[in-house]
Amino acid sequence: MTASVVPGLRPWQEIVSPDVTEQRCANGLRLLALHRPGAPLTEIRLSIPFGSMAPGHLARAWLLSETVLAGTRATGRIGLAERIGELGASLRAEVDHDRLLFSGTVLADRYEDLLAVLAELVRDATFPDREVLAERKRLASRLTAARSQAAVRAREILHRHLYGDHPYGASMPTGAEVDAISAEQLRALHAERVVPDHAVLVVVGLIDPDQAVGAMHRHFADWRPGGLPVPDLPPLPDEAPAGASRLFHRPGSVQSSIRIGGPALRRDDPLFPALHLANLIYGGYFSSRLVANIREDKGYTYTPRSRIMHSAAGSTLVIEADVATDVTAPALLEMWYELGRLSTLRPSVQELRDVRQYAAGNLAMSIATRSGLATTLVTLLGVGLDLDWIRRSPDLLAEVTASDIYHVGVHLLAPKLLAAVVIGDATRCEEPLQAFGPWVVE
Amino acid sequence: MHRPHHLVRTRLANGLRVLLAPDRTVPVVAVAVHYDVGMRSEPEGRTGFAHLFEHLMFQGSELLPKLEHAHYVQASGGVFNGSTHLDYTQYHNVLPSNALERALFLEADRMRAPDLNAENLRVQIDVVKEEIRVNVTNKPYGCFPWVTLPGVLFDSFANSHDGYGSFDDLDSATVEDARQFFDRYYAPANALLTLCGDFDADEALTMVERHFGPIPFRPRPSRPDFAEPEFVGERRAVRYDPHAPLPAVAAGWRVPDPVAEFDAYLPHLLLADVMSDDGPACRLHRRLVRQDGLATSHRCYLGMLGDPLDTGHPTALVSSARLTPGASAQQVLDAIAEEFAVVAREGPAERELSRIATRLSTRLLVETDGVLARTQALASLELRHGRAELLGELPGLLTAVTAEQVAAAAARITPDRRAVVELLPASYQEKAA
Repeated sequence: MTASVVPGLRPWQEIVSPDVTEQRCANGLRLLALHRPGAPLTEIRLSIPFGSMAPGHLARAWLLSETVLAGTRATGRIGLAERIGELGASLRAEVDHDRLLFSGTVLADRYEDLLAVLAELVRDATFPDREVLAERKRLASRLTAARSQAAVRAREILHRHLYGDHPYGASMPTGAEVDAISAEQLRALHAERVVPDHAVLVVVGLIDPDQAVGAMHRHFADWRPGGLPVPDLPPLPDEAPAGASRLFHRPGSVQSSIRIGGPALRRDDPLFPALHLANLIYGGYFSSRLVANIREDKGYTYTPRSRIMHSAAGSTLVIEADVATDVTAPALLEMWYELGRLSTLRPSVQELRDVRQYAAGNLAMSIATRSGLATTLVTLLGVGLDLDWIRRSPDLLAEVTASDIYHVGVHLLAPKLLAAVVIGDATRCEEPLQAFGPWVVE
Repeated sequence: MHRPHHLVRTRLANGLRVLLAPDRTVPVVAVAVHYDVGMRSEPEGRTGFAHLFEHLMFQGSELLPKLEHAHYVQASGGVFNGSTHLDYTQYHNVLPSNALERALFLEADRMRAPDLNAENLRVQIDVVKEEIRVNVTNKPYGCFPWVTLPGVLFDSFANSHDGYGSFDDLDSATVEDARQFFDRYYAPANALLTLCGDFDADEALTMVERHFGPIPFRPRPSRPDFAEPEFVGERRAVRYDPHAPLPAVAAGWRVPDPVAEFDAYLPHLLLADVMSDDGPACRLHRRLVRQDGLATSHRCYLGMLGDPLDTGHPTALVSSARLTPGASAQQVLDAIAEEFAVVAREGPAERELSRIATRLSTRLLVETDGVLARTQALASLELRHGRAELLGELPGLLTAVTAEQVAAAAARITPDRRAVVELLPASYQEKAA
């Protein structure tokens, strides 16, 4: 076969990201509005920095996000849900180590009504005792159920191994931590941290941006600032832990969940485009070396992948594969082998061209839906970037050379720089794994 | 809140149906091919074959070696995937719009001549087994209840078997099985090609003709009637899960034909959300979570896979819940039965029903905002209902459903018509023994 039978590409269209109308309230809140044509819908995002070094903060933050919609001075929980439902809207709160994020979707002509609900929540959430008690119980059982999943356990154990005592070392709270929280503590946390000082409010959709900024201003300008600086989390460890790997025993597991991780680069690092492409070549998309090797050639696994996770305190490379228990060690061998190959040999011209094009296309598609655009924008703003980063990315990716990939391979992807954990039935996979060095079995 | 879709239809000489939905607001195009065959049509002794065959369609074709389909799509900056459903199997590509013709070439080549060989079959059987392990066997509540409930609710092989398949059946699949399956079901006349996004309709039709036109005609297989007689009396089963920490329970009820009895079927969609949408205002949340403390979470949905608008007949309304410690499945089932009985007797309140209809309509707009999701929704409706236009009409149809119609639907969701699967942690089995 010759490549010439496959139709070529027509000229590439520039990524056009829409103009942003921006204003800042006196209380610190940044307001951004974007017009986007299409369905008559509007997306709302409110992101509030929420990191903390305080013991037990993660559990309080999680429970706060579960109960912040449980009542305000004016309305009870069901009343709020009905008000939101009658707007044809959805509104939810979620939290991670860095931020509290409210996400809403609403019919375009009703977005101001949803802004009003959101403004009421950030100022007047009451955390009724009865609701907090009930949600506390529910959250504790959901945590138990979540931990029964191998993938959730694997993330928890990898994070503990990579980050140690850093707040990111605990990827989710324990049931006991959640059980100890009172409604009064949530009210205090809300008063202290749900403040506009460093928060960002984004509205994207079938709207007039100037009118939208005006509406946002009307509803949020009198939100009282907290006046305190945002606590900075310490940076993540700059090396993966040395020494023994971790094997977590999960009795009766018919698969082993293999995770490999280590430090990566932030999006604005000059070498990030090279790392981004190196990650794609390794296992970041279907046409990667890892998928070709352990899925399409050997059939060890269904969805092997690698990705770079960005957080406020640093970025992390995470490689994942869930494999049949019997091939745990052979699969890990191939995962290390492909890392070794990338850190000792330059990629081919073809491989580099493919990942460049894939990365640029994916960026264009990540902002092709309204909700994708809203989420991407609020995420970038949270780390001090904006849509300009997306506009510039294709050029930066185009400049990456095979030598750059080799360079980040040597300095970030070499097997000795990364750490592994395995969650599986240790009685069946521990012995073959010893070939890679010592393992601590838990 | 109505979003009209500009649609163009044609049919090629080889029988391939073509549906175009140009939308030039984003520089992206989606190309999907839906084959009118799914898990219900796989032969006895070959459970899981429709899905296994979907994997084989990615293993190369006449002009493209293995892995090249993925390579060409991704090297254009695009993404691709496929999925197998009860009544159809779909393949899609979403790409920057400068790659449209390339995607058409790739889909046409494998519609003409996929490379079905023993080596690829062996590897993909292993890959599928790992997929089943990661999604079902190694995961608490994995694919509960769709893997187990059909076996209790239905009797015929087509409707009752587990579409992921048994490992024994997967292992015994042959290349000859694959060739026969392809010849019978993957004829152009049994497929629908859908294009959505940034293209000119006339130009796209020329490309479609160029790439798909030369594929020879094969007759379209007749679609079997999968209908089953009603059963009498409740049906129950228990399944054990080695990883689940707490019990769960699911009940299913047969519902009217989603296509032939669309008017009677539609109120069930509102009924499901009246019982359980994602907020605390719905009836099952108030009852099971807040009032009785019997469940930590619950769902109520239409279609075995939660796919109300692209499923064929027969299908079900399903209600499931994860239990709190100490709660029994019977308590949950009784509470659910009482809640349906209340709606059957009193109907939903006007304000409640209007809220549910508005939310459903918005959700439909949200879920079909992306080019891919819109393509799939249009294609499913075209394939099953013959009318992609339904997507734009649904908000109006949902709003027109009355409280009496919802009450009438609820009146048939009774304990004597239900099929129940209880999921228990494996430790309960040891206690029982």
